[in-house]
Amino acid sequence: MNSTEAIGALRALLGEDVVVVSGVGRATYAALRHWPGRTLPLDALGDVLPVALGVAAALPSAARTLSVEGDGSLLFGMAGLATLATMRDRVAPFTAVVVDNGRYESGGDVASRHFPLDWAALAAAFGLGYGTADRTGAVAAALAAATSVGVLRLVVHDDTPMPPPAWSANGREAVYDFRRMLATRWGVRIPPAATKI
Amino acid sequence: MTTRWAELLPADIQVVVAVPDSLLGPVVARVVDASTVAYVQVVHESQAVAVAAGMGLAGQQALICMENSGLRAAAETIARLTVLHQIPVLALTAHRGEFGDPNWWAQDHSHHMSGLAALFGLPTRAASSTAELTEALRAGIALTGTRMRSALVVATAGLLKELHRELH
Repeated sequence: MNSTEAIGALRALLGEDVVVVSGVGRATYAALRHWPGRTLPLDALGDVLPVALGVAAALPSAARTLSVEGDGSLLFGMAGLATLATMRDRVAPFTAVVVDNGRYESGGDVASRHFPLDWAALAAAFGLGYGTADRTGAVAAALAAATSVGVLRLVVHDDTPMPPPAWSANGREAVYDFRRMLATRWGVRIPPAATKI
Repeated sequence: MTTRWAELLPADIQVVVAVPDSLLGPVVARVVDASTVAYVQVVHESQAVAVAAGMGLAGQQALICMENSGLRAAAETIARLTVLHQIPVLALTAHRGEFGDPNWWAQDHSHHMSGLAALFGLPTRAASSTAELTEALRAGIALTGTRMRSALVVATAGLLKELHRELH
């Protein structure tokens, strides 16, 4: 499966009503394709997971929150797994989705690692649920294995070049849109930004 | 000095996200014990900034607590989240490396803090009394509420040592 198909399979399982924080490259492309209007795309390698955890901790528990990032991004910010483990009781249900193509596609299309990585052991070391899928038909079982707070690894192969961005917002505009979505869907208050007109 | 620990932080602050340090850590722990503020401890200052940014997006007022060297550790995250994406955060640091600091390892912390605050456009206010600390945090909340800039409050080592004496 490719990245878009993998996230599409997840979208089919979880529906539209989720909160998503996504990372650079394919992760954001796929997340925005399937959850437009629900996704905050961040240009912040390694920060996706902790930002999503902060969002999840502040929202009602009914808000299903996901971080969606590439394997390179998670490896860049591995401390996020410690934060996930620390905050597990505050963020459920929460899934840290790793779109694993084994490459730094946005960074010159080179390998993201030159060693075997035991993802299951990595998640287990932090006491986190873990599931993995390499085809769309296996995503449901992998999501279940990831439990209510855990890591979902989607093994993907993207054979076509990543298309140019199809969305128009820059980083600040994306934050603005995300705030509005949280206000509309979850009643998050946006205080006035001034005391005098 | 008799500190009203539960009132040291403005009531608007709902959660402290901290990387413990020896100056600020015990004070934060005492405040958390005395108040209803929630506490999240993380392993790196970049995580603290990112978690606090996410909480702020979802309407929760967080306060990052860390040593001022944490600005160096979190520099890339600050640049990406608070500058590039303009997600404001409020931070409280202990002032290491100020004039007279007897620790060799702290000597660069102060001017690196000043340099990074200037680089990232972080408005900064020093607090040398509990009243100044509470007021500076209140002002920082107002500032971050504009969603234009983050804010940094720096507790002097003198204030923190005074609070330590009261703790013991």
